[in-house]
Amino acid sequence: MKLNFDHMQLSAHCESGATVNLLGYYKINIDEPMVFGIGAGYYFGHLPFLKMNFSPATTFRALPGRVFSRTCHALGVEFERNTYRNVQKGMDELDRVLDKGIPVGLQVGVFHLPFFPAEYRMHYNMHNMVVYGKENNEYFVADSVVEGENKISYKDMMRVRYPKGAFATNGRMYYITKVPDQIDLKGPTIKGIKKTCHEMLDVPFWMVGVKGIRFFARQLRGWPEKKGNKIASQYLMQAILSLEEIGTGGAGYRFIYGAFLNEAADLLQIEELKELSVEMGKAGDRWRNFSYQGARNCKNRSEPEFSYDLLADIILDCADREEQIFRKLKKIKF
Amino acid sequence: MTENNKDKKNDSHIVDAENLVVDNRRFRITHYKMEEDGQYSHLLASDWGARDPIVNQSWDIVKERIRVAKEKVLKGEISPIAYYMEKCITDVSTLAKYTGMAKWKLKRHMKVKVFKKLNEETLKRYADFFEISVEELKDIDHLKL
Repeated sequence: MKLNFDHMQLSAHCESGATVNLLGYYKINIDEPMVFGIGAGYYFGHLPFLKMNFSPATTFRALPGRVFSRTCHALGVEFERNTYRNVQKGMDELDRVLDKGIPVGLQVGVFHLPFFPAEYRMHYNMHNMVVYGKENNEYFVADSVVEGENKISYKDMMRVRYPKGAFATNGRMYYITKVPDQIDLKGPTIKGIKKTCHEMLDVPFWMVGVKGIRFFARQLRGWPEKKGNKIASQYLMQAILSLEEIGTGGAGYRFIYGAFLNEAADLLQIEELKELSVEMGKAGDRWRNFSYQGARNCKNRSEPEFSYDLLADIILDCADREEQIFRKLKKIKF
Repeated sequence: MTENNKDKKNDSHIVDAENLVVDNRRFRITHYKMEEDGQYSHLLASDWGARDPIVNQSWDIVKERIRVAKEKVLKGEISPIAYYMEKCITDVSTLAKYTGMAKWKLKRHMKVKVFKKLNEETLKRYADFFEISVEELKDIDHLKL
C-alpha cells in the first residue's frame, strides 16, 4: 500500500522537514521556517563533556523530537510518539499504523541508511524521515533532505531504526492522530518566539544560550595552548561542521530563523520584527564569516592562518548581536 | 563517487571509508539566504558556507586514523579489530554497544595475544558488525596490498 504523498517538500532541517511533510498530508499549509520558529528549534549549546567525533560537541538545535512535539502542541494537533525496546514489536507497530493509512515519522541513525550521501554516513542517530507506504517488503520513504523517491528494504529499516551509540533511537516513531478544523498561526508564533527568548537568555546554565556562545569563545581561545595546534584545528572543524553542515540551512539555523521572523512580521503586522529579521541575517553573516576563516585554519593544520583570538572575537561579536536581538524580541508587546 | 564504489555498496552496507572519494557537487541541499532588501529566499545548492574544505578535512582525519591503525596491525602491535573499528568510523563505546561486549573486554581483544585465542562465536560478533567473514577478520595478510 502506498499513500498519496506528492506534496513532499525539500527542506534544510530534517526534523522540521518531516513535520512539514506530516502536517502537509493533513492539508495544513505551513512551511519550514514557520515550523522551526513555532517549535522553537533555535538553540545554542557548547558541551565539552559530550564528545562527537573525538571533539567537544557544539549544538545549534534543540534536542531531537522537540520541534515536532512543540509544534503539534502549539497548533492543537494530537499525536502519538513512542519508542519500542523490542525490535519485532517496533516493526509490527510501524506496519500496523501504515496499514491504517497514516504516514509515520521516524528517528533513525544514518550509518546504515542506504540512500544517504556517502560522505555523511557517520554514527549520527538524530536524522528524521517520513515513511508513507510498504510494498513487497520495501518501504517508501520521504526524506526531506535527499531528493527523489527513496525505497528501503525491511532488513535495512530494522537496522536504521535500531542503531546503537550516543542518542540511540530505540525505534522512535511518531504520527498524527487528530487534526483540528481550524488552524490559527498567530498564537503559536508568539508562543514560539517567547520560548526561544527564554532559552537563549534566561536559562541559568553557562553552557547554553547566549552565555553558552561566550563560553564557547572562551574555550576556543584556550584550545591551541591547552591542546596544541593539531587537536585545536580538529575541534574547530567539528564546531564548524555542526554550524554549517547538513541540516542547518546555513550559519547554524540563523538564516532559517531570520526567515521565520520575516514571516511572523507579515502575520502579526509588527514592523519591528522585520528589522529584527534583518539583524538576524547579519548575525548569520557573521557566523558565516567565522566558518570561512575557521576553515582556512583547518586546511593547514600545523600553522594556523588566523589566530584563534581573532576567531573568538568574531564569536563574541555574534553573542552580542544575538543578545541584543533577543532582548528586543522579549520587549515587544504582542 | 566512482563506479567502483557503487558496486561495492551493493553487497556491503557500510561506506568504504578508506577509499571514499567525496564528490562535492553531487549532493544538493536546501540553503537559506538573506537578500539585499532584507527578504529571505531558499534554493537547492551543493556548495554552501565553507563546505568543501570542512568535509574534506573531516574525512582526511578519519583516513589518517585508519592508516595509522593499519600500520600498527601489520607490525603486529594491535589486533585487526582495531583497524576495522577505525574503518567503520566507530569508537570503543559505540562498538561495544553494537557487539554487546563490555568495553574492557573489547579493549582486551585488541591485544594480538588475546585476539589469537578468541573463539569463533566472539569473532563472529565482530565480523557481523564489520560485514566481513570471520576468515577475513583473522587474515591480516590481505591488508598489505
